Amino acid sequence: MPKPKHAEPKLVNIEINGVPLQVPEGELLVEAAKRVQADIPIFCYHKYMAPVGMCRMCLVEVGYKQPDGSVRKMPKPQASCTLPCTEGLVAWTETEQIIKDRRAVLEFLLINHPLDCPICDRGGECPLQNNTQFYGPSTSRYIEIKRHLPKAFPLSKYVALDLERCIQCGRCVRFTEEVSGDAQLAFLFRGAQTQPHTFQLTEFTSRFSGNVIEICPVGALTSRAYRFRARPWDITTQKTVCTMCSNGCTLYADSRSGKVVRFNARENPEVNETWTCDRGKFEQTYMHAPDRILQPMARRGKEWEPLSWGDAYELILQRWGALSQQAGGRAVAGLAGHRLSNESLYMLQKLLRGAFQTNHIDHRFTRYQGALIEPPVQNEYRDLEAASLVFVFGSDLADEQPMVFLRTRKANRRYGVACIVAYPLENAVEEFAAHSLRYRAGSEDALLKGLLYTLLDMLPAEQAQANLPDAAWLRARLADCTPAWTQDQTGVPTETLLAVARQIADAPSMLILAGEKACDHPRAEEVIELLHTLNRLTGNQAREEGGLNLMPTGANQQGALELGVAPHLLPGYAPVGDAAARERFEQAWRVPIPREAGLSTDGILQACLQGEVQMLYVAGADPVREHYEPSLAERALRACEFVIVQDVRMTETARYADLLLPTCPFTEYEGTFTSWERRVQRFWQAHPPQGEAKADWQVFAELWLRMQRQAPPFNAGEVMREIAALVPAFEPCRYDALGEYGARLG
Amino acid sequence: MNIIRDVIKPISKGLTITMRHFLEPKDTVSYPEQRKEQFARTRWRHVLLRYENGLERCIGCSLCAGACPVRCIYVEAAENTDEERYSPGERYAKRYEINLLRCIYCGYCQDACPTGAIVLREDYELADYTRESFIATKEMLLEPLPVRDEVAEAVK
Ligand code: SF4
Ligand code: SF4
Ligand code: SF4
Ligand code: FES
Repeated sequence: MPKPKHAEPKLVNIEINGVPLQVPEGELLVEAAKRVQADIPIFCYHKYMAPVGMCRMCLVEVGYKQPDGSVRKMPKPQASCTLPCTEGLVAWTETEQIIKDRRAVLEFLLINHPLDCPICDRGGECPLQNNTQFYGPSTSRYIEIKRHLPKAFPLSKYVALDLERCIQCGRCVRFTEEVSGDAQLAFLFRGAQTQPHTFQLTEFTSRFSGNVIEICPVGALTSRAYRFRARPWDITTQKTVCTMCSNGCTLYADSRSGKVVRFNARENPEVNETWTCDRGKFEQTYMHAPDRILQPMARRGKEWEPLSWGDAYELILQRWGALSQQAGGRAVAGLAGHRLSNESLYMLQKLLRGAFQTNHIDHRFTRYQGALIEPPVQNEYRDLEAASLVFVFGSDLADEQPMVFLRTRKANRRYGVACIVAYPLENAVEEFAAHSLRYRAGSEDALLKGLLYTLLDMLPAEQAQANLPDAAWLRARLADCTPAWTQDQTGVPTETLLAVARQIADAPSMLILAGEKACDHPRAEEVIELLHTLNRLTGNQAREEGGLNLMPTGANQQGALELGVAPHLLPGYAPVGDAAARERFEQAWRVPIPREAGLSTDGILQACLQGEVQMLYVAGADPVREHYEPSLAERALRACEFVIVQDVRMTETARYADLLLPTCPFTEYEGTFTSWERRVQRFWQAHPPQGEAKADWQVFAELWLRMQRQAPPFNAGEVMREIAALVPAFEPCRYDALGEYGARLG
Repeated sequence: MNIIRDVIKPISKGLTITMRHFLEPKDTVSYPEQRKEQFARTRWRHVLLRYENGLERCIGCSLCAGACPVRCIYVEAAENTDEERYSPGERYAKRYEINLLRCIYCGYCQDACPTGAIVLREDYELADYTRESFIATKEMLLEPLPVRDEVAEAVK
């Protein structure tokens, strides 16, 4: 539902090519024309950027209805990309005049454009090619020599610039100003010499540089990684979702001969609009890493012995057979990674709880492993635009949450949402933030205490009392945390603290984005509790557009929590200790579930060290890399008797495995991921699995079959059906119901 | 029965036809010692041409692969460098393969090629023993390097 802040605009009556229609007032004519399928060619206009009217490709003839019913035509054609619709507008997009004008514009652009389409990476999917084909002259009258400029200049690590091909539409320059905010590109020189470049011809170092490749309407900006690797007709395109962070950007995976050659953004107005970050676009190459595990392998001394899948399952069953006689489920534990699909995560916890009779299962490797009972995120992307204030706490937002950063920046630019950032180091949010609190690293708790103290002072007493019944107790607890004390502890000047507190106190709603510095703090429990207090004290706990979000970092970290990959939670945040909830799952799975909450990651690792956990199932996780204390993970893995590692590639953790199982990366199977905002989105198989790799959920299902003798699910859709039947929040996520843009839980 | 009318006459009539054809010019050649000349526009096995200076014409653009109705061409492109130059400009074909078993010798690839690199010529002797040997690779398709006059002189 749209949030109240952007109320429905009023409708106006217009007419396009004789078709009368109603559109929201102020909608650009070029957008309105799409409603009646009138095709207007464009170059410089982009749906998610402000129009500039630079290329003149979108000319249309326009008039206005007069009170007497006649139409007064404007003497000259108008650029439809800069023309907002008002009452009585009449437009014609296919008149003789317009057809002539379009031809002229294209002829003009082609004067300086080289005809090297056969070697251009844009050839075959190029707006200039297409527009010329549809609207341009069929032959050229230009016989003079074309201008010559550098070709394939390496603009950044990822982007190559071919100046000959540029048509000066300004999209790339505007992108860096308007969207990514680093403002690194600009037009140099004038006239025919105009060229987009970095100011001092330095390297283009944006985190979002890859987007300019996609928005350039010609082949002037191309990808260096994709350079000459395929033509559009060589590739198969599949819809997918990025796995590099929790932001859930929707992508297209283009593959050729079973290999992904590039990722392009897939439009999702609710999530990434049409953008991606460079990490998602260029660094996502692990599915073709040379160290892929290609078949099941068991350790024999120092060697790896290849096994068939059947033998691998047999080995697990043997081990379990011996274990179940003595220690039982207590001796088994599971750790899950952040890139497993929802279906895989659900099947994993079902397998461990139902077949291995253990609740020792977790996915968290940060210092905060508390017993959460409700979703740690309250908001969604569009709340960023509806809130009055966004408070970024302990997060290098552009790095940790690239798309949330872009949307926050847009909220600030477009809707005037204020921003405050608290982070120990220089960061990209500071560019547009009203205040930046650069505290001393590690003093997050002191900063929050100081802020709460000041806020308790500033907020009217009754309001504080209403929002936070134990305000008096809090006041007593924070009696010493004066601004002076805070300055001393954190290095944040008193005036800044007061100004920030003032702004928070005055803001009608506040949305908090808490990052790694909060969730991976040595005293994370306390920091998070203080954040909750701040959220409640300011009344944002109860607001729709405000709230607290402990941002997950892994692609499907949120999904792991939703689906009960936690020692104390069954899917859907149902506590393990709750007999009724347990019974619901027991009935569906037809097995008893152990009634006590299990151990969290740290507990599991300690138990491995003490020899209590003798069988550890690590699925898609790399504790040696991801755990906040790698040495603990390493020692635990070494101590544990039987370690099963199921992963895409040979990770650090895999070296400690006794049994290795190969699984598919996200491009090789289908499923869903849950992004930070609890949005479930589907991804599809882009190319066939390599080697003997299987989807994770399938491995768990096959083990389940062998251990429980129950019919396993045959495809990911069936797993989702099972989830939806058990967890009402997942009802809209059944594959036949899940829309293009995904669905939010709850 | 009349010997002359019923036996000798028909036989000699038949033999006359035989004799007439015996003296006519012959179409059959004794292949493989002799071969017939092909028409100028015969379309048989492809050849990848070079420019006079020896550079390959093919720029690895995959347009032939796109035009091919049976999708039997596979092109993998790579970048020319000044040290290692195969074709003029930025791009060349690192791998170029045609599956001759699938090819229907329609010549669309030749039509699509922007540099006139791939042409169908008169080599019609395509029989072979294994299926794999019908994958014509770039090395097999490429015209041999022209021998420069001075070199040719020197060799003499
Ligand atoms: S490089 Fe591309 S996007 Fe940038 S101005 Fe030139 S044509 Fe437009
Ligand atoms: S922001 Fe995150 S999800 Fe989006 S493209 Fe980048 S890494 Fe992928
Ligand atoms: S001749 Fe026709 S079928 Fe054969 S490779 Fe060329 S386009 Fe394809
Ligand atoms: S698209 Fe309207 S002027 Fe460029």
